[in-house]
Amino acid sequence: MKTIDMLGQPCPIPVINAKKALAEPGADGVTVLVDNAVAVQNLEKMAAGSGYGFSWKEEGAGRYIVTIVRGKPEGGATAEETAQAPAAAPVTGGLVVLIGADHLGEGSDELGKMLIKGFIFSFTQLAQPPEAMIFLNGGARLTTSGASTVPDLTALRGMGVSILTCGTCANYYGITDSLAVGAITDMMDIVNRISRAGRLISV
Amino acid sequence: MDMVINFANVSSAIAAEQALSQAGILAMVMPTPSSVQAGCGFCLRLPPQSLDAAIERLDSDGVSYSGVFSRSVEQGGDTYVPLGAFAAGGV
Repeated sequence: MKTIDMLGQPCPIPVINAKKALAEPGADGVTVLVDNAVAVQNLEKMAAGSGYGFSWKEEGAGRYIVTIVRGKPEGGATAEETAQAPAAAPVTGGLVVLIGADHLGEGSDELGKMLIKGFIFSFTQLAQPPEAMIFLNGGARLTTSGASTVPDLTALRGMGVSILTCGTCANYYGITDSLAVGAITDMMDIVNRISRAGRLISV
Repeated sequence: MDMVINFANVSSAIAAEQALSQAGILAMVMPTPSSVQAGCGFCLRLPPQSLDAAIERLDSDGVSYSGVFSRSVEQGGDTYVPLGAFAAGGV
C-alpha cells in the first residue's frame, strides 16, 4: 500500500492527495501521514463518503498515521452501508447557506453582528430548513462556545441541518477546540456540497 | 417558552445585547416579529429564568426597552403575549 507524507501540508491537500492515491490503477488503499487531528477527521469524512475503510493511530505528538482501504473495513461500515454510499455526486436540490463572516453585510460591523444573529434565527422559522449551513473565516466564530448563535444553530441541527465549520478557519482563529455545534469540515467537502446544492445563499 | 424583550430602536437593542453579554446573561438576537411591532428591529430572546436578572441589568445600565413578551412556539406560527408588568419598563 502506498504511503504519502502529508506532514506540514495545509487542508485540503492531504485529502486531495489521498484521493489521487486511491484513484491510481490497482490501488487497494493508502497510508497518509498527517500532523493534526483535523486532517485525520477530514480524511475520515472522505473515506466514509466513499465507502472506504478507515483507521488511524497517533504516533508521537503531532504525528498521525491514517490508513484508508478500499472495501469493507474491519469493524467499520457494513457492506450494506458501503453499498448505499453515493457513487457519484448528484445535485440534491437542497439549500446550502455559506456564511463567511461573523457579521451580515457591509457598513457597520456592530449592526452586522446583530443582523447575522437575526438572520440565523430566521432559518429556524422556515418550514423547509436548509440542507447545510457552512461557516467560513470569521463565520467560524458563530459555531463556537460563547457565541449567542449556538442555541439557534443547535435547534437547526435538530431540524436536520448540517452545521459545518471550516477547519482551516477554526484553526487560524485558535477556536477548533471550542466548537460548540456541528462538525469541522474541509474545503473539499465544502466545494462538494455547494456543487451539489440546488440553491446556494452566500453571505 | 422563551421571554422576548422588545426595543424601540436598533441602538437600544445593540446596547442591551452588549450589556447582557457583559453580565454573562445569554440573550439571543431575533428580528422583531411583525405581530409584536410593525417595521424592522431586533428583540432579545432568553430563557424565563434569566428574565429578572436581564431586566435588572438593563434598568441599572439605563438601557431602555419597550416591552416584554412570552413566546410560545406552536405549529403554524409563534404566539407572543405581552407581559403587563413590563409594559412600561425601562428608562
